[in-house]
Amino acid sequence: MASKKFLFIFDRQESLVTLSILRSSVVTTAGLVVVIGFLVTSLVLWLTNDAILPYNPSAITSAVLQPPSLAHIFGTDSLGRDVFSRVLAAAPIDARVPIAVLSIAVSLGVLTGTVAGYFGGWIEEVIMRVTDIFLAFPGIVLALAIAAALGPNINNSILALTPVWWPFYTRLVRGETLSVKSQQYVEASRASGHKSRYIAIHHIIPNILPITLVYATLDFGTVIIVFSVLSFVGVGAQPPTPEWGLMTLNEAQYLTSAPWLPLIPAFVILLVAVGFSLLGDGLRDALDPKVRSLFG
Amino acid sequence: MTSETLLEIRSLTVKYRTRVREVKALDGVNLQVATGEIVALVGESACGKSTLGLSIIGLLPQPPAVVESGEILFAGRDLLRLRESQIAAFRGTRISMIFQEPMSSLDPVYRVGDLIAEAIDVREKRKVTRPFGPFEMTNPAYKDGRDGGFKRVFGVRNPRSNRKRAYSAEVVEALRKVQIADPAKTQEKYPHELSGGMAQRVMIAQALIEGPSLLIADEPTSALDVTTQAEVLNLMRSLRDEIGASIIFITHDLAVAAQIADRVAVMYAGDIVELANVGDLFRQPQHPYTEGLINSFPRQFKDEGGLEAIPGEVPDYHTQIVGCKFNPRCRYALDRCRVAQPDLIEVRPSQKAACFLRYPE
Repeated sequence: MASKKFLFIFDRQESLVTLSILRSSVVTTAGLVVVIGFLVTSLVLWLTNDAILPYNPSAITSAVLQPPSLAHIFGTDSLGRDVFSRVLAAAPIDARVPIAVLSIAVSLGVLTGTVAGYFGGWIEEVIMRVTDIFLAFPGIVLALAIAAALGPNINNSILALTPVWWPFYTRLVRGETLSVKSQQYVEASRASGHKSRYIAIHHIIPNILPITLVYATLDFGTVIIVFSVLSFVGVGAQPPTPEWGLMTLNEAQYLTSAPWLPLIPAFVILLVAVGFSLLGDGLRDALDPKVRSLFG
Repeated sequence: MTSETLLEIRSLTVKYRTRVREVKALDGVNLQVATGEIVALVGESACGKSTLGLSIIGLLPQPPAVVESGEILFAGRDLLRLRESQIAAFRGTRISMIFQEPMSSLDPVYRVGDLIAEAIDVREKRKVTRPFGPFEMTNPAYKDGRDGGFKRVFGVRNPRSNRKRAYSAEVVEALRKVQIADPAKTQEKYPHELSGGMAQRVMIAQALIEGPSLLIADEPTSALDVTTQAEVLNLMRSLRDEIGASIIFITHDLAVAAQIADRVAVMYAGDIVELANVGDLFRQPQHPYTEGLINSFPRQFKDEGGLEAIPGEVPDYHTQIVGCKFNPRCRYALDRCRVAQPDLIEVRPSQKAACFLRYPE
């Protein structure tokens, strides 16, 4: 049908509406700026392969533990590396992990959750019992176990974190599907001759997608933090790699003598996490038809 | 009936079966609907009106509903014998349904134009024929498509080939047909911006654009206020005249039935107790239940000293009543009524009633 439109990314007019709603609130605009800044920085650094950084983020020098100055905006760390360069160089990695984890988790969650909620019966039973198995483990323990088994690198961290997140999305989507399914418009659509698959794609998913996306943006910061924990324990990113969580935790011992070392990367994590939360909040409003109609 | 029969229901029995009990919602219902005719199903809540409507379009929630016996012949085919996929092919283009709550029957995330386009889409897709295996013979009108063909990107219909634009003229026309004042503007609105009457019009437009020959309207005006109700009823009558579709109109409101219907079927506890042309029914009700319904209804210029209620209430489905199901509430009940169940017999031409009082001696 005509309306893939609501999936606001496909349609010029609808995406302009979304954007104008997001921009109408100051906090959402702030979140949008942070998120876009973060994603653009990551993309540019990834494409240029860190060539535009002021210093090589891994170059060890004798100028250790320098306080912030004009030459080193964020100072230098215990090995004399430029912290500013390292914070920037970490962006592509810290963008890649949550984006990958959440895209897989959301896709899987929407797929399994919709199937379970809409079709019900034995298939629902199977899907939900599988999510129960995953949810039975404490999230971080499960991620640690998988990461340790696969070996420490960033791609394996993605594989380790995804199983922690997807069952939540499956549950969320299934619950939402159950409530959408009982709506009269689903019955009406059936009465006008549509098949189950069409109804699932055109009526169920568009109605559950906004809340799912909002959840995903809120989870973004959490994924970064858990990824940092994996790195700290030694099964995530490995030490020379610049990564915010790793930097915060490794430099925590300098909290009193050189406080910028742990505080700056910690603050960046905070900034990104809050940015995504604010954007998620705004997105929830922007995807609400009642709000959309006010904006044309 | 002079014109030909479109729909014939023969001794349809439907039960709702749960683990603990079983209730009969329809008990051997017979009904014929002619082409272009409006039949109103009237009765108190839970008398089986909606069950009848849903079983025609194949949307009974099964389980718990079980069709025990009977036939629903539509255009010569028994709908109850069809597989789900076959009956799905009837929905929309042959049989349509509109519901009571117009607001919740429209998906809130789509604009009105998209909702109508969705219905057009069903109709257009049905024109597609698939003669052999991988080859797809497409209806030319659909394919070259008013928007220059649907380009497929990786097998998915290109979302940017905006079908709403393609159908725009038809959408506007459909909205105009249901007497919406500003169709161009309305098609850009979301359902929650519509009033109840407008939303019901949109639903009607949606149901009729597929060109069904039978429309089942399940209390479509019950959620509307009286003036809007009259407008919608007039609209439905004029649309019937225009496209010649039959309408089964489910309502609990006798006044509404009187306004819209050609024939009225009065239902009580899963049975049709009286079936008559609308004029005859109101002038000379033959079944005590119909009489009770009419007397409990306020009339203008006729001071009868208050309204009469029918004593008692609709029987609980789990209590089995022996004899005529209305006998505990009937003021004329005979001994015979408490023993046997009367059949629906012809009392006069074009008027049938299921009552022993009307049996020839």
